[in-house]
Amino acid sequence: MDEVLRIEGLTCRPGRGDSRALGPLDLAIRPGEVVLVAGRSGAGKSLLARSLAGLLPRVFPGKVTGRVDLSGTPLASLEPWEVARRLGTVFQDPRAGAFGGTVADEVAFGPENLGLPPAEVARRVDAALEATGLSAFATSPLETLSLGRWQALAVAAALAMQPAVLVLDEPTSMLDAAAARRGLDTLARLADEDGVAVIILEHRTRLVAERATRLVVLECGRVVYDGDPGRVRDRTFCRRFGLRPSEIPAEAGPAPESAGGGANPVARAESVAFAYPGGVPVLADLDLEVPAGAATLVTGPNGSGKTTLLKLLAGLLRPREGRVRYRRGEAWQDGPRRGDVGFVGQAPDYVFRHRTVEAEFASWHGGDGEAEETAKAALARLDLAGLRARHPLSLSEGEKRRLAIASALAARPRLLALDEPSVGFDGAHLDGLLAALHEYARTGGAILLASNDPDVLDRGWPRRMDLARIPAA
Amino acid sequence: MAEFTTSMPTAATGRDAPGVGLKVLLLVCLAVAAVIVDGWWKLAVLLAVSAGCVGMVAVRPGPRRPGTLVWAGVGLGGLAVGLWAWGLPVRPYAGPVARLVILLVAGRAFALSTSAAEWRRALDRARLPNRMVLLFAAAHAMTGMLASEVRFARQGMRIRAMAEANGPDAGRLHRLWRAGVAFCARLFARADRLTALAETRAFSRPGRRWLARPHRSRACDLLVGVSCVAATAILCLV
Repeated sequence: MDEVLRIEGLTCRPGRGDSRALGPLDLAIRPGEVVLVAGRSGAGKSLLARSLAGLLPRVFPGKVTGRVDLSGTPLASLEPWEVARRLGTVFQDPRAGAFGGTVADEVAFGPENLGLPPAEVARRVDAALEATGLSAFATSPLETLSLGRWQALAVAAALAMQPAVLVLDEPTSMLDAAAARRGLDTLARLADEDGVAVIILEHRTRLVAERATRLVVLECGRVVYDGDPGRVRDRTFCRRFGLRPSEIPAEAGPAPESAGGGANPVARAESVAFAYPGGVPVLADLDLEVPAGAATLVTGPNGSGKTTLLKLLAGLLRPREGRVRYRRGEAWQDGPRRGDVGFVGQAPDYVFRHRTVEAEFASWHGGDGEAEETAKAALARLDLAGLRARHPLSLSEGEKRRLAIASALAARPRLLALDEPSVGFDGAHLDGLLAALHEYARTGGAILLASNDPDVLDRGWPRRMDLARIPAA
Repeated sequence: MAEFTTSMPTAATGRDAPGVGLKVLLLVCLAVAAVIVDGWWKLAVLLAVSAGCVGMVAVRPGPRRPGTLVWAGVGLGGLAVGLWAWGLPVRPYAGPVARLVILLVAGRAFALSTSAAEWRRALDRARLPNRMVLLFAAAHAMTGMLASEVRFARQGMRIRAMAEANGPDAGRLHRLWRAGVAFCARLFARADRLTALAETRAFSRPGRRWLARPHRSRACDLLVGVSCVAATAILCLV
């Protein structure tokens, strides 16, 4: 069968002081293939997605050499909209931008741009929403969507273009297991029935490998393995290339908790209820106590209120009913004060203020001897030491998150709230993150962590709160 | 409180295009009212507030409650009635304030009730040059992006303020300067990503985007239009 995508000697070198590079790369993708592209954080996966979409150097700075053929036509000879018709792209950050007011408008944007008849646009939109489980949200304003639903929306918008090749950069990173399986099943069905070539760039290899027909591993911008996706079950193979193994090793041990953890609560939510303006209730009559010296995991399907709960505990939102209190000494007080809470949200780069990773990190800790040593240990544990001179905003999504977490750890708040902290983390970095959290809890810190990542959930967390969606009235 | 349904169609349902024209009429009428408000400020404020509320409630997409705008309207209306009843010496300031209120209320009602897709369809149906349609779509997307950037930036400032227990203490002005620089840097980065997203959705394809769709006016749209004309007529004639 002819290749729908052929890459020959592709090399990409992004600009603006980014020393990483991709290639030379040779790949041939046939119709109907589901290719899982994995590799360490910073191996060049997102760079590959950008160059295949023809965005380098049209939108992002960089140099590209080599040849990419889409259905036999050289990519360089195609206009951007012609590339978009043949190759659909879903980026890492689903909230990077929107062009419509509602979910259906957003999905319709691409087909409308193609000048399709209204009936065809409507048919494509309905099919894409159905495939991604968003039919019930067709008329929902975009600002009311949870991040997981934004991710599903980004996939729906790409599906509505009906491309021959679909490139998805971490499409399941913020989805719950059910939503991720549904999305991946849809992609596998597209490949099987319609012959679409699907390229999935992912760290969460476990679910994707079950449906992939081929595994490509990138290391320092080059293909180091191309073959059976079942290799992600081989722990030695995963360790060698920094991948997440498909099963959590027994030696990974329990989730963070100090020996005497759980005795002293640092924050408490009492009968808390919350609803966003104009939206359905997200949380109702919820009680939670966050103890010092332990980690508490909050889990639940997309839209169940995990992020909302963390923001309430972090003082970024006010509850509609009930109250959130913080312990200071023996007294309980309303409202967080300086040093009470650290928060790393789903968009971690909004706290960055400095020009280099080193300066940014230094601004979060006191700088005295002991604090500096602890902070440096956190920096090394999260593998940021080699990025000291880089601008924080030039980092990859996973690197930004690592920097934000390392900075929050260095500030040593009494309560550290982390929202989906493992997004963009490869196997080694995930282990480093959990070790850093373990150390933080061991020294008396309280951790509240919301996640849908099966590689985080399966660590045997002793303190766990499962949230459920509140049904719409 | 009752919920209000939408006149906003979706591509998915293939229903009619919305009454952007009527909403433009609302905006124009209120702008006219703002221009002629001198001397008739008491009535103008009340009319503008009620027309703005009616407009938003009638045409806002998606099931919505009137929300804060209605309460703001009620408050402003009450204030206007109070000033009128007590005859306080506020006349010299009344005209400019009333103009501002009218325009803010009208603009807010219009922005809340009109989606980017509605605009694009309306402009396209009006046979405006393609470049103008694209320019508008880009500007609209950038405006939405700016609003969310501001929201995230405020959140980032609060996170830093709460967590920096031991951090080096910079002056307030210095911290604000750094926050401003970081905000601009992020804005540029996000504009790049928005452009990339637009390119992957065939944004730059030449030629018309939306074929003409049937347009049916709804009763509430007509009501809004008639109310606007009546309000302006009253203001001009009384």
